[in-house]
Amino acid sequence: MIFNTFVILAKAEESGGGGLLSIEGGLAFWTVLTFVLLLLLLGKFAWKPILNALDEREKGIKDALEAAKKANEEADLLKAENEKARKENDEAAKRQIEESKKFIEEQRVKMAQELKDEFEKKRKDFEAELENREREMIDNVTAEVADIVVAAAEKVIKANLNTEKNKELVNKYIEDIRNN
Amino acid sequence: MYTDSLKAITDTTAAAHEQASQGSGWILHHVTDGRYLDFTPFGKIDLPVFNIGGYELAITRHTIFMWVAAIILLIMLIKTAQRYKKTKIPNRFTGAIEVLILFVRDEIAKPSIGSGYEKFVPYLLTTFFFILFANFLGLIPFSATVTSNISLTATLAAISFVVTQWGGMKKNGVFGYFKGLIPHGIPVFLLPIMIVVEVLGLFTKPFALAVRLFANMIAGHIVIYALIGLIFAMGTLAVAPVSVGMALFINLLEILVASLQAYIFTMLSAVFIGMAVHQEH
Repeated sequence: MIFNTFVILAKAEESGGGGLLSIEGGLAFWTVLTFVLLLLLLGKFAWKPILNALDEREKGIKDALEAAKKANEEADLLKAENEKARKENDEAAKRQIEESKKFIEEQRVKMAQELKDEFEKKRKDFEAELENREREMIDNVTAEVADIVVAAAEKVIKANLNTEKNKELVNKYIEDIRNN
Repeated sequence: MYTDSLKAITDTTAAAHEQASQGSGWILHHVTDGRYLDFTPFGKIDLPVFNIGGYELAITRHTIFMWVAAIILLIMLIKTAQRYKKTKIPNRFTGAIEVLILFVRDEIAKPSIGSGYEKFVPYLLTTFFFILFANFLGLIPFSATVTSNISLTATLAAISFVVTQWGGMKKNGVFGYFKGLIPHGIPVFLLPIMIVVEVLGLFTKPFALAVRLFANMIAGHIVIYALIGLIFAMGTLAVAPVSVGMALFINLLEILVASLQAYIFTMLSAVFIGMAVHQEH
């Protein structure tokens, strides 16, 4: 097969104009020169900056993604913390309200009790006062009545009866009356 | 695998040759190199020939179009690089280039070579873009497909060979590299055969690279010319719609082949480099 190819190749050479399968030194030389130059020029002016830029961009994207992930995690943490704080606040507020209610209730009960007590005391005082007055009045009246009675009695029984002795007697009677 | 390619080339060349002897040499004329730029019907430019130290360094039309591809490549990629120096945000143009660069780096170099792939990336990128642009340049009317010239593909394969050997020797040491070529645990009496086989293997790899690219790129063009030639061979315009339609189909196929061959050449170069650098596999 390869031999056949070379026969054809040779035929093409014979017919002039260069065969299809003949290797031309000139073109090979120019190809090497062109390719090596292309490699050097592109390597320096194209591949290096482009690949660097692509690497940097990839790194940038990676970093940005990582930063975003981290920020997300932080935000989640913060959210959880906030939630916790909010719950705590809620509970504290609830507790406060409970305490306030309790305090108010206590206060109310206490004040009612105090009022009641005071009222009771005042009522008692008043009653005591009333009683005192009554007694005083009775005493006064008794005294006056006694005086009047004594005076009357003096007038009535003037002669043989000692004033002092009569008074004592009358007082005794009056006392008996009061005690009854 | 190469015998198939070779058979295709042989048959095609034989057919072309027969045609040529019957006065249809224009197909060979179109696909082979020459010391002129052919813009028929607008004219033909003859190119100069240099003689340096007795060696003939002809500047042929394939040389010219190789340079055109190289210059387009330089302008486009340096422009891309300049934009990337300013901002790392790609636009439509640099984004398209970037896709190819990332493809070569991440899909070809990284998996095929493995650790230490970075220093081969510039070579692989240059090879890929050079072959890609040369292939596509060949699809433009009045230009020439430089990758359908065995001189150029063989030279590229030789460069790939040099890079492969250099990479292997640098990593494993010159002696270690050649020792590593022979698989471990081979009986001593087999060594002479194995040495011959392995050394031959070193050279068949770039040979396959050269022939594959050359054959793939020339075959499509010869088929297109043959289809168009059908009109003249049959001497009737009635066959033109069929010819043109099929030639158009082959042309579209050539777009696929042009991309694919650039990929395959780069991919296989990377695989060979990987085999030379990591011999334990």
